[in-house]
Amino acid sequence: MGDAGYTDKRGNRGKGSFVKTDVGLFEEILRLNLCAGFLVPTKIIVSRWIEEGVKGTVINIASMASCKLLSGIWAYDAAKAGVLNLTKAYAKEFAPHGIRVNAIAPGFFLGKQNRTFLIDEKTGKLTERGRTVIDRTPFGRFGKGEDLEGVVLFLVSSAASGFITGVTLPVDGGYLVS
Amino acid sequence: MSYLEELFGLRGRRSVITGGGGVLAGFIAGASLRAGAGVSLWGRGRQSIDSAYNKLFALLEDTSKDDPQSRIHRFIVDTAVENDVNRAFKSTLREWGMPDILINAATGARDPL
Repeated sequence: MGDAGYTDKRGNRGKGSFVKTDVGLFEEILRLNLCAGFLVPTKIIVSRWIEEGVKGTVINIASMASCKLLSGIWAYDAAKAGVLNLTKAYAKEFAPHGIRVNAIAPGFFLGKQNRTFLIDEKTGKLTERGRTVIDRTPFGRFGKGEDLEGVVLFLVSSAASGFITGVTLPVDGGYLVS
Repeated sequence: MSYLEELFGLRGRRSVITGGGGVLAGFIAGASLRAGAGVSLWGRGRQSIDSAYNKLFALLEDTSKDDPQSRIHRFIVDTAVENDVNRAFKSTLREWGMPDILINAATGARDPL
């Protein structure tokens, strides 16, 4: 897949050979994506919802890495697979309280940190990695933020999706079926 | 209320969005706001949270007569730290109200790769 395209807050890159894994960095990526990204806010807010009978809904952000191995970014793969897994687990635990838990798995969108890996800043053209991503995305383009909007409204609305819980919905232009 | 508003409208709902300064979080927040929800942005970086907050503020001024400060809230917090999140939640409850939507958009890498 070329460059992994992620960097932690200290500027460390997360891609590499598994046997050369930096254990500290691995732990940090898990902490950021599972503890900060899911566990801690969900624990604190949902525990209050249960106490007060609030039938709330939780949306997690999964990834293509939740569903498909993206080579060389092991910690991120593990963390995002964990998001998919725990979305199901929490959905089951919270269902008796009327609380739903679902996730969205975005395909390849241009964000702050991956843009330079996918688009050459000088020429505005795709990098090699960007070209690989587009070639593997049947819709032939990157995702746009707008592509997520209707999905979020659908999943948070109990009138629209009140019987849906524990699912991870890909929004990926067909990447997972290619 | 129209059929579509009944199905997808979020008036009266309140959404906490972690990682609220991120690009995709910004689209999620904007959609939630336009559908009628209140939005509380949580995140570590004051600059990115303030920037996202200001964009939502401008969006609301353009599209609604609602008071932006009753609909939009922000809190600087590291969501990996349990005590900090407890503090953020208590402040959010006091200053803004009980959320009934949690969008966990904080991530260690801007998703997706």
